[in-house]
Amino acid sequence: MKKHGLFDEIMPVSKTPTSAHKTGLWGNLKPLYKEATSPCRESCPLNTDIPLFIFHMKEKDLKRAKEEILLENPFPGISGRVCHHPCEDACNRRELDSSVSVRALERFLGDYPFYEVPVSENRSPKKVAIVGSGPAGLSCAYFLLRLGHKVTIFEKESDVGGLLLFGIPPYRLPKNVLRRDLHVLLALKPQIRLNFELTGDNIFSLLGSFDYVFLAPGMGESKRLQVAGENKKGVYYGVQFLKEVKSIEDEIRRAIVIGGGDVAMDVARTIRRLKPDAKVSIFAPEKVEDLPALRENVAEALEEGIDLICGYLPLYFEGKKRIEAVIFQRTEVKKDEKTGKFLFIPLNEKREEAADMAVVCIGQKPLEASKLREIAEEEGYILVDHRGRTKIERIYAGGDIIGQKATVSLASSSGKRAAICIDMDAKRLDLPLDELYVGSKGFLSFKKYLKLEKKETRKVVGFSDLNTLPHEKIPRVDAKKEEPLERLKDFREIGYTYTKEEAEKESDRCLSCGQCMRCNLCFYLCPDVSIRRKADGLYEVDEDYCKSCGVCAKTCPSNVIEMVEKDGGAFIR
Amino acid sequence: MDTQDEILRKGHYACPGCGLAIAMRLVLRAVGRKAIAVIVPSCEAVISGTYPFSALEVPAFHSAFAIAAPTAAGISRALKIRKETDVTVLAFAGDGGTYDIGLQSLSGAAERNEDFIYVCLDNEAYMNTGIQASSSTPPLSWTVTTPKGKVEKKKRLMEIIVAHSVPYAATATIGYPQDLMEKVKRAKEFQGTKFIHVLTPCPTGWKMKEELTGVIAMLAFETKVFPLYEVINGEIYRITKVPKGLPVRDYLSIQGRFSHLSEDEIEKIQQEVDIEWERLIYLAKRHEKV
Repeated sequence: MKKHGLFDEIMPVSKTPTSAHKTGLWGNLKPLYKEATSPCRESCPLNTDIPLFIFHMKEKDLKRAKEEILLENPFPGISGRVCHHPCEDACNRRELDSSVSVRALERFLGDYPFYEVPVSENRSPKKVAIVGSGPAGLSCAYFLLRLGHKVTIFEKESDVGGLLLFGIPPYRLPKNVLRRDLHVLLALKPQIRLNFELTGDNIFSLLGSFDYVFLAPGMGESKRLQVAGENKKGVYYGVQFLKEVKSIEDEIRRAIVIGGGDVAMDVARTIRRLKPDAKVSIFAPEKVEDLPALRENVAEALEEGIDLICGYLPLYFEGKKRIEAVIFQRTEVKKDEKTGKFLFIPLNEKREEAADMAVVCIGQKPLEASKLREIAEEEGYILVDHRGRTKIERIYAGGDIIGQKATVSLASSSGKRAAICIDMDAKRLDLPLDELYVGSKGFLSFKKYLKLEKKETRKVVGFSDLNTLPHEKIPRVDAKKEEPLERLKDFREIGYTYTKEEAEKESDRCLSCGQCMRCNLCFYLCPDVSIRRKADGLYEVDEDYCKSCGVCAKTCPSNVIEMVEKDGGAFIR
Repeated sequence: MDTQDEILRKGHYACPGCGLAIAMRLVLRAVGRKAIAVIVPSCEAVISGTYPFSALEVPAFHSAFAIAAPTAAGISRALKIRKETDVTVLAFAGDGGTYDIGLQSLSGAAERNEDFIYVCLDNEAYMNTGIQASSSTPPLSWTVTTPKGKVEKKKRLMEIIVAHSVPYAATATIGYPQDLMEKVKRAKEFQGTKFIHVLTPCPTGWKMKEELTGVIAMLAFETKVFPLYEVINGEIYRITKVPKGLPVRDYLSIQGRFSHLSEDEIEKIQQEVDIEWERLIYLAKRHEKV
């Protein structure tokens, strides 16, 4: 004690902590942590919170990552393989190097063995009949079951899955993956009635014994070309071919596939596998860059030795009983700017191609429209409103039959929409739908419906909102694939799931747009020691000392900080 | 959760968005509580507290402008005599106190290899007295004493320090806080004079928005204007982080002190930055060949 006294006598010693100065009075703003929507999530038809599940992956918490996916997407293993991944097209990282391989990460989690989902308590469960067990029907069933309703699935075939089962070949979607993903849904105990034939009458009898009906019968029939010679032997149709043809006659040497979508690619690749010595060519009307098929599917078809000839439509088939050649006309496809429809403009050039087999894959149409005449429009499509309701009360519809682009994720999305809207109707909840949208694309979020959403879902974070200076360019990790020659030997899946290391590497590439990744830059770069880390890894602000400089908000790589007025009101700076 | 690591107190008098306060805070966090700081006249002196206030939770000694290094040397020797060898002595000085006024005394202490960590908080001018140019002010930069832009180059201080063969010298920036703190911790492992040159952007003197402090520090690095490297024993150069090599325009254009630059002048700065970077690569590779 005495020593200190002596020291004080020699020279002045400052002993009062500066914390006596409430320097927060210098400014009237403070940082507000508010996570927002990423462009990938906005564009996902299922609204999966992609940066959040990737954040859990970065934290090595795979269980929570999968739980997060299962909140919006019932089948991550399936969509991780076959989704048309609009998320990757919207990814902000494209501006830096290339998009994050979201689909491969989803597939990795899809394969992660965790299959339990919680069911909400429901005191007055409704009975819902679901007609069709493709992605739309199964998705609707899944979300209704999670909301505590009683669901019966009616399926025409002898097994559930619809198009997932017979429309996507096993080298892209193996049956065991389908079964494994369905396991989550089946554990919620839906009733299943197989070999059920849908007719106009039994829909109405279903209305008698169920509170609601969801129609997702899909498209039962292939579109025809309507050209001469189409009835000759050797002409097949896309989905029926995939479903029924298990072998190809020995004498077939030259097969032609007509169309530019995924079915065309899949048919061609199936023929390559069934008959490796036959030459297989795809003739598509669209230009290569405009093909409706998934880029990967086109690339893999080419790798497997399939010819792709773009810019042709068939004029007629030649041959006696069996076709011998296809006559094509050069065609240009243009999009009508006003209607958005595609116009096929014939050009003055013909081409003859010898063929002893042709498969027409130009799309699907509803089966026998007359069966559903009270509900359906003339062509057999069922029109629905923005809640998925048909013109008949208590009947909802989804999937390809409502006339939307035929993809697995859009179909699942329409099933989710119907499930949420049925639940709202059952509970007499008059909630405007736009309160359940994330971003501006009009897709509903189940998480938001369950009131579990914490993010700002109206604000979508763009590339220019991010501080990307801390990020390096990192090459995208592409999952490995089987060698093309090996692939042709059988129907085994050609793509591999990421290894743990690959998944970690790729998840590190996520820019975490609108999602706090606990990088601590805001914490370390606060000149006024006013940001504190909480036990949960998030941050809190000490308004008494924050001088409103905004360094934290400007430096944040994920744009989750916004400067807002302090609670104490405005001070003059 | 981190409060026990925090040595800089709240309520200090730095301007909003002060890069120097960030640097002091990070250096002190990395050094820890067993430390004594030396403060000389500069913005640090204001931040660490005017009498009777103190912003530091470790003892600090306010010394004269020109003698940050010898003061630290004296404290360090006194601690050795008292056998308190686990206490780190830390000298904080600005660019004025290091590049100009304190250079002679720093040179003497470094020559004797006195045991302390010297942290040069470089905001590239005499900011505390009203933005007068120092020998650290970059060429063509505006200050009140160089209204048409500074004519002279920025002194290569690191090379002067390295010429003393000190055991550890490093550059760091607040833009990369982990790198900064790792270098401070690394410096603690060496006996003798350790020198850390930290770029600390100053919104007031650089004439930019307060919120840009962090981003500008990152840009200074990514444009190669302020490379991050360390030098061991005055011999071994190691580049600790590789910059993206963005155009210097990205760095210059958001600072008011460079707003008068012509296209030619920006190009000239780009060329000089590129030459300096090549020089650093040469120094780093020279060692690899040996």
